[in-house]
Amino acid sequence: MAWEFIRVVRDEYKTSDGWGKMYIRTEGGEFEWLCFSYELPWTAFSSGTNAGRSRNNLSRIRLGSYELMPRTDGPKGWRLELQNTGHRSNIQIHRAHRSMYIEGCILPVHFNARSDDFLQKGSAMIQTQSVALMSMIQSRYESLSSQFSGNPALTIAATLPAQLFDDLEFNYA
Amino acid sequence: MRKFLTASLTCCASFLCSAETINVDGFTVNVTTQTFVKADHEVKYCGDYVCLIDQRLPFGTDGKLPEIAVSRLAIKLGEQTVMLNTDDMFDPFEEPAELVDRLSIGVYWGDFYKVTGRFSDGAGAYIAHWIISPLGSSRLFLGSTELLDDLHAQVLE
Repeated sequence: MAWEFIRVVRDEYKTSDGWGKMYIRTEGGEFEWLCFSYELPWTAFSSGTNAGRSRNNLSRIRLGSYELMPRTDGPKGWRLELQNTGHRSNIQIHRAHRSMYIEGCILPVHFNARSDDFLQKGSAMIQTQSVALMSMIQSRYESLSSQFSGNPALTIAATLPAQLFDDLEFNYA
Repeated sequence: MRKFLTASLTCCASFLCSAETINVDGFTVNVTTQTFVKADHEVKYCGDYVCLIDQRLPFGTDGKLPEIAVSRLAIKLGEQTVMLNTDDMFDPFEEPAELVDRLSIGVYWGDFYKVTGRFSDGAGAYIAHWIISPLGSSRLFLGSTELLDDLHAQVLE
């Protein structure tokens, strides 16, 4: 059985705003604020078999709960890959590159567009700080994972305008 | 429409192979892909990550085995068909028709043209850049967007 490890709360639902907040489970089972999150804006296929679903490479994925699998090797280092993301694949929480380039993944970052220390894309500090945040996530994962038998899980939620509650479809990427 | 699909799937020698002819920026482009068969390649893992295929860095996957390889990319310049280097290029798109939007061709100077490809099937996105002419072609860059940005930062900033 999966155990909830990380929560991402998007600041806005299905808009061009890609910012959110990332919370992480504590040893005591509470959730504490870890950092800001950054994703691509929402954009969906307008027709075809995937109509209404997120566009590959161009959009964040749907709200929902996703099990996570750690991956360790490669240039992005330790990261968490979301499972069962439907028509999307290799969606991960991974360290930000200085360019903030992503194709649907979720970046932990220490700033957002409204914070005092807002950084322009291209700043080396973006990557340095994001690597440090991934190290914190890894340490927390390693200390918590022995307490549970299943995979960790991510919940992606959003601050919803009330009129959109009926529009939700969970567990589709 | 600047680019358009002129022909759909044509037949390759094997069922593992598919070829597509498209028009990109006024040029006829032929791309051939083949199913990646692990047994036909030397695959090296670094931990859980496929780090080398046939002793070379692969592009197009995020450390997993690729599904298809780009085996041929040819562009017609007048009467000449110019072959582009496609070594180490895997999983370039989900559907071949996407190539219409993933390739661009522009004048460099004289009979020389810049060809840029932005490839991805959802993971392991990469960029390829060639200069071509009726005399032949050179691939100038093959790598991820992150590598390209790092290169840009190191050289120009």
